[in-house]
Amino acid sequence: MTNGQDNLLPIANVGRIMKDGLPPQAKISKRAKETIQECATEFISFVTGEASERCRRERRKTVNGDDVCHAMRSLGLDHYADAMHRYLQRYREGEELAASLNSSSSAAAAAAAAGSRGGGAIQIDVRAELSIFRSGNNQGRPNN
Amino acid sequence: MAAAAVADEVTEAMEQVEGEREEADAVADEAAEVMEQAEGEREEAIDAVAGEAGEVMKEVVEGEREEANAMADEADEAMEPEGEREEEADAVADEATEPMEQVEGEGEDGDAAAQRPALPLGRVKRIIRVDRDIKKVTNEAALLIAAATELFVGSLAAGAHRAASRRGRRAVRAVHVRAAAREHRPTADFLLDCLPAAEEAAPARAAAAGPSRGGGRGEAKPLPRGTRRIDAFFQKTT
Repeated sequence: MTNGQDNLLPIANVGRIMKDGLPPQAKISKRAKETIQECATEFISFVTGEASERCRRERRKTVNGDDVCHAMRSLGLDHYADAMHRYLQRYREGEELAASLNSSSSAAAAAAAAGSRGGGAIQIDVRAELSIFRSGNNQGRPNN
Repeated sequence: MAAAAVADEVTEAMEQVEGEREEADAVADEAAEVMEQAEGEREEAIDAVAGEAGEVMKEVVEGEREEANAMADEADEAMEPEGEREEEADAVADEATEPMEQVEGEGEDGDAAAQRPALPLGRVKRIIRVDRDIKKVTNEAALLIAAATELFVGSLAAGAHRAASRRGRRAVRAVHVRAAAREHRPTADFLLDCLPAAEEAAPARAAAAGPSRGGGRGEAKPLPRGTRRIDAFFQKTT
C-alpha cells in the first residue's frame, strides 16, 4: 500500500457502506468510490480539527467523545450530533456495565481491560443509527 | 244425524292421524338425539385418544430433552478446564495483537462485525493524527468519528444516487458525487475545496484525450494577421 493510500480509508469498506445505503440494482463506479473515499477522509479531518480547536481553547490535550459531538453541532451537523450523542450514551452505558460485571474477579477484570483497549467490550450497531438518521430524511437538505 | 255421525268419525280419524304423526315426530326426535349423543361420544373418544397421544409424545420429547440437557451439562462440566485455558489464550492473544492496527476491519465474526463500525479504527486514528495539533484522542472519540463518517458516506452515497436517478442513470459516477456534495449544505464548503469541479475536470479530460485521437477535427487556430484562407479565393465577389 502506498503512503498516499495510508491516509485514506480503505476503499473496500467505503464501497460496502455505499452499497448498504443504495438499492441492490444500483452500480457504483470506481471513480465515485475514490471520490467518496477522499470526501470521507476530509470529513474526518474537518470534524477532528473543530474538536481539537475546542480542546485547545479549554487547554486540554485529549479529544474525547463530547468534543466530537460539540464539534458536529458547531459545524451545523445537528443530525449527526444527535445520532452520535445517542451512540455515545449507549457506549458509555455498555462500558459501565462491562466494568461492573468484570470487577468481581481480578483475572476477569484484566481480560476485560484487554478487551476494552482493543475496541470496547460492548459495541453499538451503527447501521441501526444510520436507519434512524435516514428516517429523519434531512441529510441532503440545507441545514439553515 | 247420519251426517253428524260421519263428521264425528272423520274428526276422530283426523285426530288419530295427527296423534300418529306426533308419535312419529317424537320417535324421530329421539333417534336424532341418540345420533347426536353417539357423535358426541365419538368426538370425545377421539379427543381423549388424541390428547393421550399428545401427552405421551410430550412426555417422550421432554424426557429426551432432559436427557440431552443432562448429557450437555456433563459435557460442559468435563470441558470447563479446557474453556478456561482457551479464554486465557484469547486474553494473551489480545494483548499480543493490541499494538497492531486493524487495516481492513474484516475477518471478524458475523455478529461482531455487524456491531462494529464498518470503518477500521486504526485507520481512522491514523487520519486523525495527520493533524499535528491533536495530541491524544480517546477510543470513544475515534469510535464516534468512525460512526459519523459511516453516516456521512451513507448519506453522500444516497445523495449521489438521487442525482444519478434524476439524470436517468443507473450507475453512480463521480459527477453525481460532486452534485451530492454540493447539495449537502453543512459540508459543501469544505467538500468542494477538496473535489475538483466538473467544469475543471472536463477540459483536462479533453486535453488528455486530444493527442491520442490525433485526427479529431477541433476548432481551427486563428490565422496570423494579413493572411487569408484559401477558400476565400474561390468565393464569388459581385
